[in-house]
Amino acid sequence: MSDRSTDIALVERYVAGDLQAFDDLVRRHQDRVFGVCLRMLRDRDAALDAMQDTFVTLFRKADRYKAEAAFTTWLYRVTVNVCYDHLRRQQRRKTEALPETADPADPRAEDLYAAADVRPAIQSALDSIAPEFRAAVVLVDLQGLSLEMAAEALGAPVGTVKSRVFRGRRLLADTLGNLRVPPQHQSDEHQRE
Amino acid sequence: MMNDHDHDYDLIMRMAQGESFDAAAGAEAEACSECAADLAAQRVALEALAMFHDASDASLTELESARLMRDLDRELGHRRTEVARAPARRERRWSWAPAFGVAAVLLALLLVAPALNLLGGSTEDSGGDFDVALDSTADEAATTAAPAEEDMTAAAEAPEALVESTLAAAADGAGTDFDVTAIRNGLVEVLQLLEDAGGDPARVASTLGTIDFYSFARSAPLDACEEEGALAVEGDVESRTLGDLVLDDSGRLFTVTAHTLSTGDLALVAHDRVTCEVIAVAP
Repeated sequence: MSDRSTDIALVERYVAGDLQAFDDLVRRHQDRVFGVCLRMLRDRDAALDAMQDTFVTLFRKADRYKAEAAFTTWLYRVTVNVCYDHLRRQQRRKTEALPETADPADPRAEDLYAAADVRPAIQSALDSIAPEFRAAVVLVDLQGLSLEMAAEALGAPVGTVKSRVFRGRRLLADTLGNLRVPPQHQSDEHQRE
Repeated sequence: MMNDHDHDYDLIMRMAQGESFDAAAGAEAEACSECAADLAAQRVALEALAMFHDASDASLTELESARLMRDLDRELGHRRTEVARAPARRERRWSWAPAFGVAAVLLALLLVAPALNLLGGSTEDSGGDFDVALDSTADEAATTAAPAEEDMTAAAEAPEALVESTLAAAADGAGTDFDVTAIRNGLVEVLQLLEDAGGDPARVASTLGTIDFYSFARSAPLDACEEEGALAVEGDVESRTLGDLVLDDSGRLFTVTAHTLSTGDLALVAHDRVTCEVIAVAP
């Protein structure tokens, strides 16, 4: 049985009242959901909360899933929406300064990837881009979704998602301060975007 | 230089991702400074994001996974009653320090149990993290008659002489690849800790808030672990399940059962939480 068929069968069993099927769905997809939440929200505890909220939504709304689409796509959509909610709540109570990012003009940024662990810096850069761009980048570049699947998950046209991925990467690179272009070009780019 | 492919991000994305593209269009894009900048940015971003692909932090630990199931249980108001899954590969090498720390918490829990109503009498009013693991045993606990004060005293006065025999039981139950010496040392230390605590629940309780103690919905049937645990200790007269706990630095959860012996002393048994196989016995 394919992954997709297995998911559909589990959803059907759960909707019919089999709670074990729900547990199985959670176990099958918890890492996937958590990965998205962590990259969207950065904070591990917040990601754990969002993951739980995602599965609570799944528990309550699984009957709305239509088998025409892949279950994972539907679940990604729920996950991203939950993350948006969490980000909005975070924004409302946010008191911290934005995380520091590398100086674009800093030549040491060339050695960024030689650092022992630059993932926090990359995560900070990811955090700094707008949520809709971040979601597109996370789904396509980190979760490996096709543009079509990401578009379905995000509820946006494929062209829009492609544009978000493109611009999200560009903003990410800007933030990482590793663009190999003269400063005046960067300014032009910002204006164009 | 600006030209008509300035906004052809589709082409630039394909180039950055190493996908096939029209060579002439690619050459044109590379000749355009703005396109080249876009291309460089795409590559930088992709290179950076690639570092997340093998990032272990994006996976749930076993503990987090168990906590998720517990929290969903609470949030959604249903209880799992059985899960008979194939056992996961056991990591049998123990780290001494965390084993000692959590064993201390376990025994501390026994000391505090009377105050929390965990071992004797009803558990209906117990709260916090103890709820899930204990509520399924609440009925059993409510009908058993072991005096909590006696349990506390027995735990506090557990004789070191029991260590030798119970270590043998631990080794029998655990197989051959545990670090038995470390467990032996840990048990002696725990006994010492109990003596130091002097059976004072208040003193032990003060440490509970600073040590991770997790108690989750269980995977194996409750009575199965209790029966296995009763066989691993000598003179068991009463068995209860305390819950699932982290016993080493892998974050792995073990089901822990408590056994009142005919001598009045308490023994603790750690089980594989799926198969209930005995991993270790204390004291």
